[in-house]
Parts: sequence; C-alpha cells; structure tokens
Amino acid sequence: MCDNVLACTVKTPVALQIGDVKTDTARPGVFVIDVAFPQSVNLQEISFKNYYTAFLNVRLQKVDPESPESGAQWVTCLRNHCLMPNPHTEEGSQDYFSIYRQQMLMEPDNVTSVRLILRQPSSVWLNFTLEDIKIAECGTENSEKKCPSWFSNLTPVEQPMNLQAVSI
Amino acid sequence: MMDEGTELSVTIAQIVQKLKGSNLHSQLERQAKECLQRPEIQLEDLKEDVKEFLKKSGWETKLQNAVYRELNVLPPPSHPEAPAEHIKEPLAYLRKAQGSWEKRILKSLNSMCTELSIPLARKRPVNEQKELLNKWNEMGTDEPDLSHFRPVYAPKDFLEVLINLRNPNYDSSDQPSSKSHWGLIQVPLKVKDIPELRESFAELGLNSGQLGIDDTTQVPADVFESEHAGIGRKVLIEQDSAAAEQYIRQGCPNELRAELWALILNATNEPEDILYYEQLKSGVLHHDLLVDNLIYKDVKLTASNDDYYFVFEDYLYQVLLCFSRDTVVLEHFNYNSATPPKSYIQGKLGLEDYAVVYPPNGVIPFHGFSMYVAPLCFLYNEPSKLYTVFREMYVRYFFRLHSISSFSSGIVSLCLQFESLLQTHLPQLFYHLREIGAQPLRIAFKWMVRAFSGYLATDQLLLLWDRVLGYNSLEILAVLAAAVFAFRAQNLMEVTSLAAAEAVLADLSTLKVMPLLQIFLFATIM
Repeated sequence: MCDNVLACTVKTPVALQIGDVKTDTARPGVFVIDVAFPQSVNLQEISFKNYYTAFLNVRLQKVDPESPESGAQWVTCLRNHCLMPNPHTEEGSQDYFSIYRQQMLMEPDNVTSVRLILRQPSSVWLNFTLEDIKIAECGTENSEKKCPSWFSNLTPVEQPMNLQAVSI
Repeated sequence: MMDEGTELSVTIAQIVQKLKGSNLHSQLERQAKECLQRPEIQLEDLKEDVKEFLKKSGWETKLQNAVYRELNVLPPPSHPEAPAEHIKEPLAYLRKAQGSWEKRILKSLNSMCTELSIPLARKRPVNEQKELLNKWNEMGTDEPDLSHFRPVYAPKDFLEVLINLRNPNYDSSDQPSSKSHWGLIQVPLKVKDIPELRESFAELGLNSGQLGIDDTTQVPADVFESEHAGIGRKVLIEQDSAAAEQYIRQGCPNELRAELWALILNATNEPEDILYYEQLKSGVLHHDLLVDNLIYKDVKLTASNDDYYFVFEDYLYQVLLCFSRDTVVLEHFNYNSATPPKSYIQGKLGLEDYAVVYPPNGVIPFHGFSMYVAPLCFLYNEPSKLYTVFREMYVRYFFRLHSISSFSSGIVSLCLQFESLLQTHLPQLFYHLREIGAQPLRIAFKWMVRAFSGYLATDQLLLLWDRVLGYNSLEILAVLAAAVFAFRAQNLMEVTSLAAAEAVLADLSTLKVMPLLQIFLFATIM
C-alpha cells in the first residue's frame, strides 16, 4: 500500500457518438477520458468519485523498457467494471471507487497513459463523468507506509519482564 | 472497492473501538480477573481456560450480542476518500434538501420562541423543581396553557418536501406515459419488486407458520403455536440476539415479546442503565426546555385522544422528556443524513466553541412523535426499561421515517416502493385514483411515517413491529400499505373524490396484518 499520488494531466472527456456532436439531439452514451504521465510509471491504484457512470473500461499504454525503440502499445486492463448495478437507478451513482493493481488483467507497469472509457446506457441521465481522478504509484520496498489511525488502538503485545535485569 | 479482507478488518477495528471502554468491556475484564481464583483455570493454558470460562458462563454470548448490535447499525465500510457527509448520505442533492428542510424547521422553532418570548432553555427555580418531582408520576393531570404552542411540523408538510425532491441530473423532459412513474415521488431510487420481496421475506411464505395467522382459535395449538412458543423460550434461555432476530420473523408470543425485543435490541436494564435514566430525570427537573412544551402538546393532541393509549399518558411524558436530554442519541447522527441543530450562546453566533446542540439529543419532535413510544407501553412498565428500548428503536429504525435519505429503509424509498408496487400490481386502481385527484401516497404517507402506530389495532401493530425487528428493515411498512390498498381496491374503484377515498381508508383497526401481507406477497397472481 502506498500513497504516492502521481502528478498527471487529466484531459477533458471526449464524447464518442455516431453523427455530428453538435446537431445530434441524442446524448452520447460513451465518454473517453485520457490521463497522461510525464514519464512511464508503475501503477498501484486508480481512485475516483463516480458521477452517474454505469460501466468502466480501462486501457493502458505501455512501453517495453527493454526495447524502447518499439512504440507504445495499448492493452485493456479492466473490462466492463460495473459501477452502477442498475443504470436507471441511483445506486452507486455518486460513490467513491478504487481500482487496485490486483484487479487488473495485466501488470500495470511502465505505463505512459491511461484511457478511461465510460459508458452509461440509460437515457434518463443528462450527464455522466468521473470526478477527482487520482492515480497512485507503486512505492519501493522500503517506503514508509502510512498506517490508518486505528492501528494505534490495538493493544501492544506484552513483553515478558526481564527478571535478570532487575537488581535486588 | 477494497477487497473483502480489508473491509472485514476495517469493520472489526470500528467495532473494537466502539466497544472499548464500554460497560461490557469493564465487566468482561472484571469477570476475567475474578475467574483466576477458580480451580479449573491452569497457568499453562491461561488464555484458553479463561476463554472457556467466559464461554460457559454466558459472557461470550453477551459480547456476541453487543457485536451483532453494532453490525446491524454500522453503515457498510466506505472508501477512504469518502468524507463523513458522504457516509451519512451519498447523494449530494438529497443532502442539500435535508439541509434546507432542517433550516426551515429551525426557523419555525426560533420564530415560535421569539413570538411567545419563551427562552429555548431555562433553569427551574427550586420550588418548581420540588413540585415537578412530586408530580412526576402524574404529569398528565397537569393542564398547562399550551394554546399558543403549535407543532413545529406535521407529516403532510414533510410530504410536500419529499414530493419536490428532484435530481438535477435526471431527464424529466419526456412526456408522461405508461413507462413513467405515476406517483408523487420523482427520485429514481432502487426499490424491490415482488419477486425480490418474496426472497427477502421468505419466512412469511405460505408454507411457514405465522403468529397472526396460525394462532387463531380455529387452528389447534399444537400445529404451530405451542411449538413456536417452546422455541421462543429456548432462545430466551440462550440469550442470543441473532437467533432471536431469526425467530421473531414468524412472530412472537405475547408473553415473551417484552424480553425478546429487549434481547434483539440488546437493551439492558443493569443498575448502570437505571442510574443513567435517573440522571436524565434530574436533568428534566433542573432545566425546562421549550421542546418540553412541544412534547406536552403532541401527547395531548395524539396519544391522549387514542382509545388504546390514553392510559399511558404519564409514561409518555416520563420517556419523552428524558429522551430530549439524552446526548447518547447524538451518536446516531453518524449514520443519519440529518444533522443536529446547533444554537449559539448569545452574542457568539458562528463561533463553534460557543455552539451547543439543541435540544440536547438533536431531535426536534413533530406532530405524532409520541406515537412511536405509545405501543411500547404495553410491553414495559418500568420507566427505565421502557426508555432504553424506545431509545434503541429510535436510533435503529424510527429516525429513518423523518429524514431525507437514499437508504433502502428511508422514508423516500418506502414511499417509492409503495407507489411502484401499486402501479405494477394494481394499475387500474392507481390510474382511477390519479384521475379523481386522490394520489395514493397522500393517504398512505401518514401510516408509514408513524410505522402504522395509532392506525392498526395494538396486537396487530405489535405483530408488524415483530417483523420490522426480525428483518431489520422498514420495507414491510411499504408492502403493508400496498396490501391495504389491494384489500380495499373494490371500494376504492367506486369513489369519486379524495375525501371519499380517505373515508374508505380511514379505519384500519379491524385489519389483520399478517394475512394481508401473505396474500399480497405470495398469493397475488403476477
């Protein structure tokens, strides 16, 4: 566990629609949010606050560190992750979510860009997006872990008294 | 979301923190120390032997009951990023609506205060304290002048607020059609339909025995009733809350109900609880609060006029006046979408150091509030026990009936569930009532806000509240409301105005609750 939130640029969501975005009366059902990093990173966690997105796909652009000449490749690391169990109702619509490294289909190492593909099949919502997108990096082995505050309330293991040290 | 292992650790840590330093914790420590004298405790296996002793003497069950109580009440573990307000209520527009509603109530209270020139709180002079102490057991005989007081709000005011709830992100431009919702609530919350309700309320099915159906005189007692009572007695001997909660889903025999409810709610009546109640009572004697007058007025208007509950008038004062001063109730605001009103010491408006919660328990009573306590008076005659059980029922269930939230047992979900059930299964009736200007929710709302107290006969109400405790949810109130409409559907189809519809549904005192629920859930052709 680590809390190294990465500096990254989150681009504005782009709607994917058939037909002209401006003249078409139907609202888009797919948005794409691109997040770019200044250099390649190893991801630990992607966290965000949902705003009426029903399903999420995540794609990563990875570079191969061994052969930097070959270009970056796009891979899907999360498919159809459900955020709202029933897209027409409010459940999960404004909740906070985290996607951890362990849930991803591939190891999210040497990533230069993250693409979040948002889908909302229900037509009852006017807008949908993700807010407060934060991406955390994997820490090194010796990094200081920030422990939750309740750890300090656990009773300490009692050490047996060293009787020989007690002088009479 | 966090994986299951982490979620469990967080829940365990939360419960440990809550129970640490509680009365039960010190009792367990004392028991563990005292048992060291016993011969069966050996030094080699000290930890195991002490644990074995605690299990045999029933203390482990008490701890299990306390943990189970916390599990029933704790909201699910949330994301570390989620702020406290998100835990109280995840949807921003509902939080906003609750905030405006609270401001309105507070404004109404403050204006009443200024109009009548009565302070929010004042210290009683010594002779008045003595007088009140003498009259403590018969406060009902007092006839103070309450004509200038009016209830801060009534359920119908709250209904208007709920009707006006709108999600700003919801597309309501579509023309009303058969697909749209015909009812008054326009919030798209998830509610269960009949197949899902059948699964949730499986124990109410046609194949299981029920108290309220299988204990009538026509059915011989040995078919179900006496065996069920025997199981109930066993559950009470074991003192296990979780088992009691499962047992009571099929109803509770009258003679065991008081103890079973106290067991399920983990409401104890130890000397410490009695002492705490006495402390609250002395708080009532020392200070006079404005809300006390509101309580008096409410009891006089509602419970005193009720054929079943007027005898308990004095008990109601003894419970509700103490309830207003109990700061333990403030803990439930962690999972309640409401926020307790704050008042500031004169001249220090806005400074948090000079803010005090008013009333001390953060709950402003409304018209009909005393009806939450009245049915409990049939079960408990000791004021401190009655008080503890009521307080536990309030912080688990009743608060959800008058705060705006998206929770599945909250009043908004209950209203939506009632309307959905009616629209899906009695569309002709719903359409007819809409056409004559009698929206069904306008009639059913007052039943649900009071959890049917004062509308059903008392024995039927207690059978209904058995199920509320057994399923740890208020959804059954919405199902019952729909079942009542289904039962009186034929009469309702013939009425031509809202007043006539209200008249058809004015008297529910002859209804039998369990057959209605069973028919509606399990015998309706879909």
